[in-house]
Amino acid sequence: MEENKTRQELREEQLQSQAPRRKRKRKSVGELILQDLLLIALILLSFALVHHVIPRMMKGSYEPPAARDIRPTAAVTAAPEASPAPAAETQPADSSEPETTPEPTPEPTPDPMDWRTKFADHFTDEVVVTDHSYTSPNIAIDIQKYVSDDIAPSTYFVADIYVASLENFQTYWAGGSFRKWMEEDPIQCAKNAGAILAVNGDYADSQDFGLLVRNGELYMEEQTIYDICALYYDGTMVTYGADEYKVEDVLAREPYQIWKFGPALLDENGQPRSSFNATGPISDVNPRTGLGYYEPGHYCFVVVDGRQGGYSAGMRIGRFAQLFADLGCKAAYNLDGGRSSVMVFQGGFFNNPYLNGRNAGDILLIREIEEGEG
Amino acid sequence: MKKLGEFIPHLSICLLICLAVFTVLDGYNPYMKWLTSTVSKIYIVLCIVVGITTAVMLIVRQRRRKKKPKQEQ
Repeated sequence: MEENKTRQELREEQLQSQAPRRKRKRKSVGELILQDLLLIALILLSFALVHHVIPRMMKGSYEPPAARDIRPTAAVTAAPEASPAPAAETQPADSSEPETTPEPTPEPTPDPMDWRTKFADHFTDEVVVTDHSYTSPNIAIDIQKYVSDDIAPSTYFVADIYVASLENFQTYWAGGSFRKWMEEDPIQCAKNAGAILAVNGDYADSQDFGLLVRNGELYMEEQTIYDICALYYDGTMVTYGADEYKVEDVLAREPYQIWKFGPALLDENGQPRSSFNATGPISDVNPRTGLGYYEPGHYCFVVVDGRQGGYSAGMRIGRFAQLFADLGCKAAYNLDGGRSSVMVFQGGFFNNPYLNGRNAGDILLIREIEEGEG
Repeated sequence: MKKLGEFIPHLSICLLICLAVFTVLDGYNPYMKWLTSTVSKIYIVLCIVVGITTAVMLIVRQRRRKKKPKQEQ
């Protein structure tokens, strides 16, 4: 009997000792994979929260680097008015020297900054507005719609722009000042800035690195791996590959605007670059926005619609560069694209943005300068 | 401690799969700074720490397994 009990006890003890083993039964492979997938989802969600959601929620509290005014003292405002008399003709009023026979007055050399005279045939004395154009004594804009006959149709809009002064060509931050993740409806941005014509910018509000100048104010001065585009105070626009410039050299030339998205599209001969500083997906077929340069005072904005079935597929970066070369541009630069690509004219979208566009951090715009401004 | 030892290799796999996801996303849109933002840098450091811990744990286990038969002799 005792023996039996002992056996029973032993069995019970054995069962008790097995109980925790049962509890700690090994998980099946399926359970392990499910557990890991849940962990992956948790990590991705946490990352998205910390990387995107919280910074966007805190957009108002982020203090960007203080802008430094780098405008040259004799800025562009001198251009539109009457061209100054050549220095050789100026005589001091109290000159005591005896009068000499005046030499024949030399032919005044045209002021390269006098764009009003240079492009006089494009401007009008009064403001004239149509559904696709705007002309005034300071600005001439003409927007044309084209449909390319590539494999897939692409609809694009070319805004040909002449300005009498560089100040007619400006940029504007959403909310009025540079703040990280501060974005606004591009139509509202254009309205706030008093823009006649505007296109989306380079998504600079999402970044805290690079070389960034807007309306003569320097925000950041850092060399990056991206191409840049500089619009100088003399009206020339130059694009640089990532390894083709030095920050101090570009700043020494007195830039008015510097964009940092890219890639640069044309080479020094105005032909498409042999290779583009862009990753595969960015080079692929997409809606696009670009800025073109013909000569000081003469620029163009190009917006390509895309991702919209039979209406417009978009363009590859190479085709986009070819488009600027065909337009006769000397330099061209790719700005933010995709859903961001918008062209706003007279307070409304001129193109058909993909999914009705998205909020923009900054815009490039053409506007009239009011008296006393600048 | 034993549970932590079991969990860390899984964490290592999951963190590195997520890192692979960020690398692909960075290829699509580098301007979003999937790999270069401060948060991403902290994440990469975490991956390194967990990866090294996993490797050290594996080496320790291997050494223990090798030692056991010697002790029996």
